[in-house]
Order: sequence, then structure tokens, then C-alpha cells
Amino acid sequence: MDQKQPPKSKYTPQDILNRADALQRQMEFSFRDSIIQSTYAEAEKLSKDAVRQKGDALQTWGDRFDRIITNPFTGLPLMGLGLATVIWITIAGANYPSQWIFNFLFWLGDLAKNLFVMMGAPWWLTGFIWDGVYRGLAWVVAVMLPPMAIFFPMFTILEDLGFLPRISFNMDWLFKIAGAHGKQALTMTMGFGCNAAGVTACRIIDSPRERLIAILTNNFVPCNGRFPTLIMLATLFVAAGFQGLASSLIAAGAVVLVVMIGVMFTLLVSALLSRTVLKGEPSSFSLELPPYRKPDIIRIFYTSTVERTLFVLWRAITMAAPCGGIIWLFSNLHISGKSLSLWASQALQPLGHAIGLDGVILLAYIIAIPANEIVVPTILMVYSNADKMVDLATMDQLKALLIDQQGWTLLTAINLMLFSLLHNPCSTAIWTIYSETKSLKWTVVGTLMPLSIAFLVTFIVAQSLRVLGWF
Amino acid sequence: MEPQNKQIKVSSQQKAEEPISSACERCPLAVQRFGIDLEKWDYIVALAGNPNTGKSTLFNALTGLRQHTGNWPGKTVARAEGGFGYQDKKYKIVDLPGTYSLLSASVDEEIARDFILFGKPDCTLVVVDSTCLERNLNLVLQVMEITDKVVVVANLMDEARRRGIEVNYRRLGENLGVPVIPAAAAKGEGISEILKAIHDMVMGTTHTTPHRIASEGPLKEAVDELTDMIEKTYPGIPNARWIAMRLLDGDQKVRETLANGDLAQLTQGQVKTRESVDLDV
Amino acid sequence: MMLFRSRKETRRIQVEDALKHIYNHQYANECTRQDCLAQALGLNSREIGRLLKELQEKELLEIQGENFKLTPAGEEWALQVIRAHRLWERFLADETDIPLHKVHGHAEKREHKMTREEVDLLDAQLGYPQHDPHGDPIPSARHEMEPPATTPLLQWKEGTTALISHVEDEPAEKFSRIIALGLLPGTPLNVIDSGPEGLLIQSAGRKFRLPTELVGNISVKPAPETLQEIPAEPLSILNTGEKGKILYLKSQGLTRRRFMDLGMVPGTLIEVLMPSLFGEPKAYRIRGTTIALRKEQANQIFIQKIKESNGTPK
Ligand SMILES: Nc1nc2c(ncn2[C@@H]2O[C@H](COP(=O)(O)OP(=O)(O)OP(=O)(O)O)[C@@H](O)[C@H]2O)c(=O)[nH]1
Ligand SMILES: [Mg+2]
Repeated sequence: MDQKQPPKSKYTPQDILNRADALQRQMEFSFRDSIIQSTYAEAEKLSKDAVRQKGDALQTWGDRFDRIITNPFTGLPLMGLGLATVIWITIAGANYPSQWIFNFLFWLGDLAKNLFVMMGAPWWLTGFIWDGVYRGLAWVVAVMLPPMAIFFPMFTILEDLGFLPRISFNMDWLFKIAGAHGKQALTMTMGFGCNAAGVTACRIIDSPRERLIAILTNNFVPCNGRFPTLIMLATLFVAAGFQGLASSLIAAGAVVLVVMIGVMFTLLVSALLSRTVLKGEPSSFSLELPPYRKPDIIRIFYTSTVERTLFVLWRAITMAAPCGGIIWLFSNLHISGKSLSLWASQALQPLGHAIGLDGVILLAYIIAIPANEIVVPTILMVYSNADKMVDLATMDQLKALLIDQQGWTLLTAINLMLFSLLHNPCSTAIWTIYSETKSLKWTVVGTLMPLSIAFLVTFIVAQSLRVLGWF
Repeated sequence: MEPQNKQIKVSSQQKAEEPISSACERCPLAVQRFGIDLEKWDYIVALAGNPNTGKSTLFNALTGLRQHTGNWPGKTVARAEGGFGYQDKKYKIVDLPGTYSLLSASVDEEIARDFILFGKPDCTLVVVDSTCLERNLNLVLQVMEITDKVVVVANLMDEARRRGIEVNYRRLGENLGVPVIPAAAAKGEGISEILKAIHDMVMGTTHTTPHRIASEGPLKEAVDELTDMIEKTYPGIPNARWIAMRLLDGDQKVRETLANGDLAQLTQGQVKTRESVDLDV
Repeated sequence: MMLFRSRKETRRIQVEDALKHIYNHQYANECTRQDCLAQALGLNSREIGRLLKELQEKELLEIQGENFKLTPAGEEWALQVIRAHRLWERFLADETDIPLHKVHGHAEKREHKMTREEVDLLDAQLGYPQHDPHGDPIPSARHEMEPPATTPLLQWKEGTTALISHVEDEPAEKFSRIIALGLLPGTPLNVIDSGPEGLLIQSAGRKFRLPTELVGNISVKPAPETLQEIPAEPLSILNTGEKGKILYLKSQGLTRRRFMDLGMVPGTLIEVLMPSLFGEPKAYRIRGTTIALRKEQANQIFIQKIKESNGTPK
């Protein structure tokens, strides 16, 4: 077989394979190494021939910024401050537009509802469409759109600047301790936009083990559907009693804290996974840090605002509107004198109470599996029971409903934030986990693990605070 | 999940004035090849290159779509498709994940490699970063081993200019033996030249003489011998030399392709390519 | 984890283990009498008798006086098992995250489960490696195995640079200690001094004493000429701002290919740009691009430090 084949005019595939094997064996060097080496030698020659460097090649401002961002004394505060600033601008900037949209959409809805009533449409049709479907949609648009339209352009600017790989570079050390890959920091930041996108981005991690860790923990960064919920709760409860600038600063602080907790859980759970079911050695790590590039701010504002708006509207129509309808049905279908939602929330009440929440909140989380952004509207709709829906255009009215009527406390707010941060991914993200892992087992783990952690953490927090006699 | 922009638009710069001719002899075959509706396309163009060189940006500029871009390597992880029209012809263009090489056969590289090889694009645009040509040319040379229908897009020339890097694009093109088009995709510079280069390539008016990696001694002998065997067995195969090199490198996929007879079909097409990533632990 | 094994499978494992051990004993010129084999395989006299009889019936084994000897067919089978074992070790070490001291255990199980075709495919896929991760030669598809051309470290002359060619993987405890010192196959070293407590070794930019009980487990061969003159040091010893020229890469498999794809081929200049916030990883400048590597990766790349005063090559 080692002999050269006698020249023929045609060979079988097996002949060719055998010959290739034989030739390979005879070589005293690594074929692959020599191919890459000669390719690079050639590339070097070609590039030398065509390229001339005028002056200094170094990117001065970018290099200087890199020095600052990787310096232990300036880097950490700078990264924290960056995150806080982005969140603060989002909170402060979204406040008024949210109310305007809210007022406008509810005014429009009432108008249409009155029109329906005037035309003599049956109460259930009017109710289903305008109190159910439309309100769900209006809520989501009002609450989601402004923060997203502000957050995303800022995020895209950082992304186009080349900042994300630097975050990875700086945080790799922590992920290394957790037994995970440094690029997980990058996929984590992508998760802020959308956990499903974050899960897909995990493909940049080569090692299957570390990729799986990144996929399973991506849920611990709050995605765009959960951000507004966090913002609302932080503004309403943590920053209660403060006005103007102070209020938005304190709310931003609270959200930053929640994000930090999320990062902490990412690291903890990664460490746990990599020491138990996904045990293994760290794989090889190499990450290219691209040069900083000047983001095209006008284009970004235009494209990412338009894109986010469309995205939010799309989700509102496909996810929030149907859910709104379902909630309305739940609140208006009565069995033995009690509405379905009352039945369900009463059944969930003991469990809800044990983790510092209540039955309605848990019910909302079940209905909101397709889309996290409708959790709060669901809660409010069930509370206000749809028929006697109060006008919740201002924070004061919201507060009156939640605190005065439903007895929410700071504990409810804290645990709702924690639950919202830690609980199971939305259906889109679950589906993405499945399509990326092609494994039912890991999809179930990726769904139930965060959920159990959410229950566990909120249970511990609720019980210990109650034991301390605070609530 | 992000909404997927799969609809196709005619690029704004190049709206075809006349109704597009439907003459397309080779298309029905291609339909089965990838499960992508090719009925309306005359030519397929592939976008390859190192990560973060602006492939998706160029893709967007050509198609008017909004494929996601970002300044970090690995932004695109799956291939995306769009289309554009130019001078009476319709083109399907495929944005591939960025790769440093086509040799390692990791998943993203496999997607890119399989498309260039089995998708048999009529033109492969290799997008390179003008500010670090050396590393980028490594990939260009590898792509040119697979296909000679290559147009090199020297992107980010604005960055190169800013950093005082002078590139003699014409000379580079002469040395490589394929067209080299300077561009700044993010600013829309060079787009019309790229369109023309694609057009000339698919019409067959561009003649390329791809620069081959010089090798000598036992390496060359081994490659030559195997190339000869492959060429004799599969007359008309476009990249026998590359296949020989892959066989010597022990490339599992290429070996399989040979063993199961898919290679024979390479001259006609009919090979399954991989679009997504399997993950098994 | 497989709980139930078919009888046939158990039988195959026993037969193959026996063939492997007899082969090893035979070539190490160790005792191949029935009692010695029983001890090596951990079988009682009845079991070993049955097993050896079966092997003889299958014409895999013949008896010469008191000693057993493999027939050509038996030898081929033994080599096939060794081939599967060593290739699988190579695969695990190169392409997966499994630590080196565990690959042997995994391969012990896997070697009995692979068909000939699967082994050949793996061989091709790995680029026809010549040695397993411990430095042992891998038999070819036609069951040829070149004897390792190595020298015990104990006999190595002081002065010239040696390349570690083989590290004995048993006992595991010693093996782990040797790996912990960074003495893997492929690592260059110099013997500076020898004494009763062991050898004074210089390797990878460090000087340390190698205890006598470990010296015997390491074999070496002469390092290539390029390494004789210049001391090769791992990239990780460079400080920020310092430069080096890549001499060679110690890593194999996927990591090696990734490195090379990024342009880290021998002769390439590399400069330390900056450490990250926590000091690790570090960013390096390679062919006009910036690449971050962890210390573990930097330890795999051997360089020659370029002294600033010599003037950096432009
Ligand atoms: N200054 C400048 N920036 C550009 C140019 N082309 C692209 N960019 C920017 O470079 C970055 C990378 O562009 P992408 O199009 O995402 O690169 P890609 O090649 O698709 O990257 P991968 O998908 O990771 O392989 C983006 O931030 C673009 O805005 C250009 O011509 N000039
Ligand atoms: Mg891209």
C-alpha cells in the first residue's frame, strides 16, 4: 500500500484515501503546521509589498483609554460608573415619555370603548377588546418602549466603540475562577438586550462545556423585558419619598445593585455547574480585542431606535395583546361566583406568601411565560379586576393601588425584583436554548434551575426578614 | 428573539430599471441544494473574511437589510441571506460567520468553508481589514485555494487612512491575481465598485490568476501526486489541489465527502451543508 | 455510565487486556509465564488458565517452554488496542478539557469500544500524530510502531538542551507531580547540576530541583538545533512592553491550530501590551492585532526574548 499506485486513468475513492494516508505517514513534519507557516510567510510577503506605514501606527486615544480601563484603580470604578450612567439615563429619560404614551394610549382606548358602548356592542366584546387585549398592548408599549428606545442606542454605541470585548477582557479572571470562559462576559452583556440573543451569541465559545455553562446562566442578566419592571419597582418603592434627580439616582442605584446580583449569580451558578455536572478543565482562551472605532452616532440612533420600536411593538402585538385577552377572560369568567383569576390567585396565595409575594404575582408569572414584559400589567389588571380598572396614569395612583389596597411592602418589591431577575427564561429564550443545545435535558435544566433558584432565594429572603420581624 | 430580517429588498442604489429577466438555467438545481428559495436569483455571492472586518456592514449596504453589526469578533454566528439586483440581474448574497482560517474545522469555520465549497457561489467576496492585511491575507490565500472566483474587498480603508497606513491596492491585486477593491462599507465608499466587480466576475469578464501558496520538496510532491489522482478520477473538479491538501491534513469532512461519493456530485451540487451548531457534552 | 455489560463485551475486554499486557511484557523482556501474567492481570489461577487456553485456541497465543508468546495475529490485535488507546489519549489531551492525568483512565475504557474504522478516522482527524500525550509512539494503521529513540533523563549530559520525549504515566501520583512542574512531553530543559537529592533543572525560564524519585520517570531526546543556542522561555515570563520571537508552540490539537490561525507561527514577533484589570489575562500584540491570552495559554508558547538594547527588528 505504501507503494505509489501505478498510474491509472481513474481511481476509486478508497485508492485516493489510502494514498493520502500513506503519503501522510511518510512525512517527517506536520503537514498542517507547514501549510499554515507557508501561508503566513506568503501573506507577510504580499502585505509588505503593498503596505507602507506613514508615521506612528498606534492608535493613541484608544491605547490610552485601554490603559485606563484596565488599570485596577481606574478600571473598576469606570466600568461600574459606565453601567450606572447608562441605567440612570434610561430611567431618567424614560420617565416622562412613558407617561405621555400611557396617557395618550389610554385616552385613545377610552374613546374607542365609549364608541363601542354607544354603538351597542355587547359588554363582553367591548371588555375583551378594550379592557383586555388593548390594555395589555398599551401597557407594554408605554412601559417598554421609552426605556428600550433609550437604552439600546447607548448599548449599541458601546458595542460599536469596541467596549464589549474589553469587559470580557477585564472580567475573564472572575470567570476563570468560576471555571467558565471569559467570552461568557460578552454573551452576558448581549443578554441585556435579549436573553435569546445572548444564548445564540454563546456560539463564540468553542468548548461545548463552557458554552453550555454560558447558555444555562444567560438568564441571570435581566433582559429588556425585565428591565422596565425593575425600573418601575425601583422607582416606586426604593426611591419612594424622593423627588426629581434624587429619585432617579436612587432608582438607578437599586437597578445597578440588582444587575450586580445577577452577575454574582451568573458567576456562582457557573462555578457550581463547572464543579459538578459540567466538570472539566478550562479550555483554551483567546480573545481578539479590536481597535476602538468611532461609532456613527446618528446612524445608531436612527437604526437602533427604529429597530427597538418595531421590536417592542411586534412583541406587544404577538405576545402582550393575546395575554391581555386571556387576563380579561380570567377576570371575567366566573365559576360559583368567583372569577377564574380569583380562584387561581387564591390557590397560589400560600406559595406566594411564603416567598414574600402573593398569589396574583405568581399567577402573572405563569401567564407571562411567553413574554416577561407583561408581568406588571397582568398584576395590575388582576388587582384592579379589569371591570373597575382605575386609571393608573401616575405613580401616585399606582402606589395607591399596590400599597394601600393590596398591601405591598418593601419586601414584596425586593422579592419581586429578585424573582424577576432569577426566574425561568421566557418561552422564546427557552426555545433558543433548545435549538442551540438540541437537548431536552439541558433545556429543562435551563428552565427549571433558574426557577428553583428564584423560589429558593425569595423564600430565604422572605422568611429571614420575617423572622427578624421586619415585615 | 430578535426579529429575523429575511425579506429581500432591491438595493436602493441599484434598482433595476427594467423588469428582471427570468432566464436562469441553473437555479432549479440549487433550490434543492440549500433549502433556500432560489427561484428568483441569477447568481449567488458569498461574503467571507476574518471576524469583525465589516462583512455584515457590507451585506447591509448591498441589500438594504439590517443584519446586526458590532465591533467585536463573532457578532455573526449563523449565515444570513439577502438579495440585491444589479444591471438586470438578481443576486443572492450570503453573509457568513467570520473566521480566521478555513483549516481548523471548528463549527463556524465549517459553515463558512462548506458554503464556499459546496454552495459554489458565483463570486466570493473576501472582506479584509486594510489596517492589518497580513493576518487577513492568510484567509484570502486559503479561500483562493478553494475557488478562483474571488474578489477581495479591502474594507476599513478610512481607518487605514486615519492611522497612516498606505495600501497600494492595485499592486496587491496584481500580486494576488484577483481584483482588490478598496472600500469603507460603513460610509458607503466603494460600494458601486464592488457591485461592478461582482458583475464582471459572474459574467466571466474578469480573468483571475489566483496566487498559490508556494511549496516545495516532499510537501509539493505529495500534494501534486494526490491532485493528479483526484483530477483523473473527477474530471472537471474545480479545486482538486485544495482537496488533496485537505486529505493530507486528515480533514474528516472532506474524507467523508470523498468516501460517500458526494465529491463526485460536487461538480453537479447536492451536498448537505451545516447551518447550525450541534452541541453535545 | 454503563451498568450492564453484555457477556460478549466483558470477554472482549478481558481478551484485549490480556493481549496488551502480554505484548508489553514481551517487549520489555519481562516474564511471560502463566503466574506472572496472572499477577499482572489480577486473575486467579483458574481464570488465567481458561483465558490463556482460549487465546491459544484462537491462535492468538503460543507457548514456548514456560513462556507465552503472541502469534502474529495476536500481536496485531494487541497493537490495534494500543493504537486505539494512544490515539484516544491524544484526542482527549488535545481537543477536550480533560486533565492529562485522567486521560489514561478514560482511554482504558474507550480502547475496547472502537472499531478499526473509527480508529483510522480518528487518526486522520488528529493529523496522524506520532506520539501519545505521554510521548509513547502510536502504532500505524498497519500496526507498525517505531521504538522510541529516547535517553533516560538520568543519563543526559549537562550543557546541551534536551526535549522531554516521554513521561511515565504510572504511578499517577508521580505523574501528577511531574506535570505540576510543567515537565510535559515537548518541553525543553537543561540539566545544570546533579546531586544526591536530584537534578538541578532549568526549564521554561525557571530553575528548580527535580527529586530523584521523579527523574527515572522522564526520558528525553536532543532538542532541535534552533533550541540549542537560544534559551526558549514561555511567553508568560515577558513583562508589559517586552517583546519576543515565537520559537515553537507546545500545545497540540485545537489550541495549536487556533494559535496558528491567529498568526502565532514560529518566527512571529509578539509584544506584551497590557494586563487586564486583575492582572490576568494579558493582551499581546501579534501581527498588527491585539489578542488576549490567559497565563495557561501563554505558557504554551515558547519565545526568545528580544532585548530592547539590541534594537527591535523593524
Ligand atoms: N470606520 C469604519 N468602520 C466600519 C467599516 N465597516 C464596518 N465598520 C464597523 O466595524 C464593525 C464590525 O462590522 P461587522 O459588519 O459587524 O463585521 P463582520 O465582519 O460582520 O463581523 P463578524 O460578524 O464578527 O464576523 C462595526 O462596528 C462596523 O460599524 C468601515 O468601512 N469603516
Ligand atoms: Mg457579521
